[in-house]
Amino acid sequence: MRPQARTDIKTMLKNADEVEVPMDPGYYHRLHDKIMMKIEDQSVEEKSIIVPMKRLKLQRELMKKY
Amino acid sequence: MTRDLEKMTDLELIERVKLGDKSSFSSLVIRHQRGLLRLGLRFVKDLDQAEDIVQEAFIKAYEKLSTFEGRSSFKSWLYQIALNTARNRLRENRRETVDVEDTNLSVPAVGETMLVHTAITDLLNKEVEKLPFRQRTALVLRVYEDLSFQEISEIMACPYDTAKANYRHALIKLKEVFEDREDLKTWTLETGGFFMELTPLMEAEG
Repeated sequence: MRPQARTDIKTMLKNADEVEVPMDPGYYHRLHDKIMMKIEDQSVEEKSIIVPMKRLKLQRELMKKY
Repeated sequence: MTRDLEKMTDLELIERVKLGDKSSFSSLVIRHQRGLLRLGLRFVKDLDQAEDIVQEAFIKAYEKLSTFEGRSSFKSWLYQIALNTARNRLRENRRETVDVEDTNLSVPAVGETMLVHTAITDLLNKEVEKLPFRQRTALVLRVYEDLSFQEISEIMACPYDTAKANYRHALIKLKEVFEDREDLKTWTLETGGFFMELTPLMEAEG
């Protein structure tokens, strides 16, 4: 009896499901673009952090030398 | 000749991303964004917040891709990241207070059957929200995402039996709610709707 009752609660939950994702394909195009843009931005940010660090290191080496 | 990105498996795409091909990650986003958004909406109930979860999950996945070893599927790994993000978001939401004056107390003017349906749906959804996060996760992944317990255990990073136990406990808790609410059975019998199929079973089980 139990497994059957469980199946019914599963049906109840599915009936009560109110989650609706957007249907418009344009929405997903925009979402995709936002994600890829943030990933691009992040890569640029990482690079911009690395460059000053390298510059700083170089400056320190030069200071030591002279 | 390079095959179309669309026809490649997730693992093939990941290998390409690891070699520096960002467009392959774009294909992974296209493939999984809709499922991830649906999963997010099951936890935060707000499209903007769910969208934030999706974005954050993909960004984290991209950053950590070098650590992905393929022991589970990419989908399971991605869902795991999204669920952790959703959990953090829920914690933040709980800290925020709701202004009573902003709360909508109006009752929609609909027919009785519709009201009963709405009332039971609200109650059920509220009870699901009250479940401990791991039980809720197991329930959502099993019922709405139709995932196997093997997949659920991968996403929840726990043994197979634990995933199954979380799911079972969630169902038992929900069942208890309805067993305690005699009024719901009456409503259902009167309107002949939503939960008809449950009533005889509840009575049979005593």
